[in-house]
Amino acid sequence: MYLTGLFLNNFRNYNTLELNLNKNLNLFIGNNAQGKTNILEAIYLLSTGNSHRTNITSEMINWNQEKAYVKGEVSRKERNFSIELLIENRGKKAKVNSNSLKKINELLGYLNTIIFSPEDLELVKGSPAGRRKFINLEISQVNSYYRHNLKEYNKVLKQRNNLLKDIREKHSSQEMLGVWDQQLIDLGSKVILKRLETVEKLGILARLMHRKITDGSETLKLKYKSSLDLSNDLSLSEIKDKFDKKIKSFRQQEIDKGYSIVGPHRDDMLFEVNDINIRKYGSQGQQRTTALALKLAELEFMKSEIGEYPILLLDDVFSELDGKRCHYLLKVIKNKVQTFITSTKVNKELSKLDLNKSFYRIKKGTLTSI
Amino acid sequence: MKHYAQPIAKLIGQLTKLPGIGPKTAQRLAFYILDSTQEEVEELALTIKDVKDNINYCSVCNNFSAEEVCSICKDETRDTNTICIVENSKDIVAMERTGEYKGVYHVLHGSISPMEGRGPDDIRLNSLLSRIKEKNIEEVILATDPNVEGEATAMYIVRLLEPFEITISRIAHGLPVGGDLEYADEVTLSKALEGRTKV
Repeated sequence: MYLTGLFLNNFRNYNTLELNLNKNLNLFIGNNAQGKTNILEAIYLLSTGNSHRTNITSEMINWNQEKAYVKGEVSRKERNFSIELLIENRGKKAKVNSNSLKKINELLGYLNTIIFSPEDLELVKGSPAGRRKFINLEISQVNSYYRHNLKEYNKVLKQRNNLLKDIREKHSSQEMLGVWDQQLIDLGSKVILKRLETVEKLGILARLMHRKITDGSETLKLKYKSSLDLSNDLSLSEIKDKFDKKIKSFRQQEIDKGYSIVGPHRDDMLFEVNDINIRKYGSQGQQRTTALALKLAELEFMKSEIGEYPILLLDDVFSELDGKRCHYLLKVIKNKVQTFITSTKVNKELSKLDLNKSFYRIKKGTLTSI
Repeated sequence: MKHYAQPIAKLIGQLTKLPGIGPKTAQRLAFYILDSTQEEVEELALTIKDVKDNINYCSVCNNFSAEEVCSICKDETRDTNTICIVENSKDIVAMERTGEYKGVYHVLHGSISPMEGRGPDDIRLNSLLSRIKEKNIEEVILATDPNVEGEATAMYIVRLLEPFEITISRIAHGLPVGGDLEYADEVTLSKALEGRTKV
């Protein structure tokens, strides 16, 4: 899939911007704080309904304006359509082909994107929460049932945590936990099962990518680390059984703490290179190579799930990767993945590249083609 | 609000408190009331007061009723051995529209929600228990909302009724009738698939 056009009005530092986009590579060059990332943010917004940078909608609206507007023209295999987003201080509204969506999160799935920003290079050594967010978004973009189950799981979790606090303060009895446990286990097991499947698929793809980037000298392994101590190839009912046992054995601890300590909200992903945990013992270079391999694996994963490549957004990461990694990245995306790159300078690898490309220079919210 | 005479501003303020009414709608309603005749306005005011004065809970099922016992519980043609449990009186209206259900109801007036500080004692379960103990109830149908709170409430009731020899069932959730399968959203379809029944 690809974007053929992008229109911004009062979005961040842009008054009005209308762009016809290149099917392959679009490069935005400019100094810092000129509005490069704003373009990627707008595309990401069309894809997920949320910004990758902020949760505060007013930040996305141009100074002295009341609302911002973003529109994208999408071309997919079977159909073409437009996505519109109206951003106001009190919230966002979305339309697909001029039909209003009831909720903003219904947008997920129309336009698939993968964003790669400097923070993603931290994915490997960052917090478990970051890795959970990564895997959740990954699956949610291609599976709305997972998205639903995760949302319900989080609701149950909130209710249950409240109840655990009530029990600790002796406002409620332990027996009340049963009805929440059952739902936590049902929904949580579905979430875990889907994550296990996804991590396995992603793991295979990431290992392939990783091998190529490292010329076959390193082997990457991806593991799902669950608070339930799961082994591989478990069925849904087996996961439920384990969940049930675990939750019972942690009963007192959960009450003492006043929150739930067992379940997918405490799980993590583990990266091993040549059987060594590289979160703890890897070099920065190894961690970055892993992050890159993971992003490229995401591309292939989405292709296998939805039948076409998503759009790739590379926010300022080119400067962070060395020549060899840049080269490999460009080789992968060449002529098959529509890619948007922001950078402060034209990279040597980029200018050498013989593919259909559009370069723009950005200065204070105005674009000139170069 | 400073452009309005004080009584109008007060009325608009009151109307805005109603669910689904924003400031614009409230303004429209307020001016409509002002344009109405004296009799019309008095009738509206009286009707509102009347509802609060004369509507109570049915002593059997807790449904809103103008009399001691509501019309459904009084109806002798209904099967009093089957109770359908709902969260709100509104749900009864929906169920009655089907014309399919011939049993009686029990209204909980809420669901279990620790976040809002609502436990089993805050919804009308005691009266349900006494109904079951005193009367010859054969079946209970759980029709609480299909969200996490409604599910928790249903599960709690199942546990509560375990000692009694009655059939307990939960209403199914799934596909809308009359539509095409291909138009169902993935979540509904997945749910329907999970809750499939043997034929």
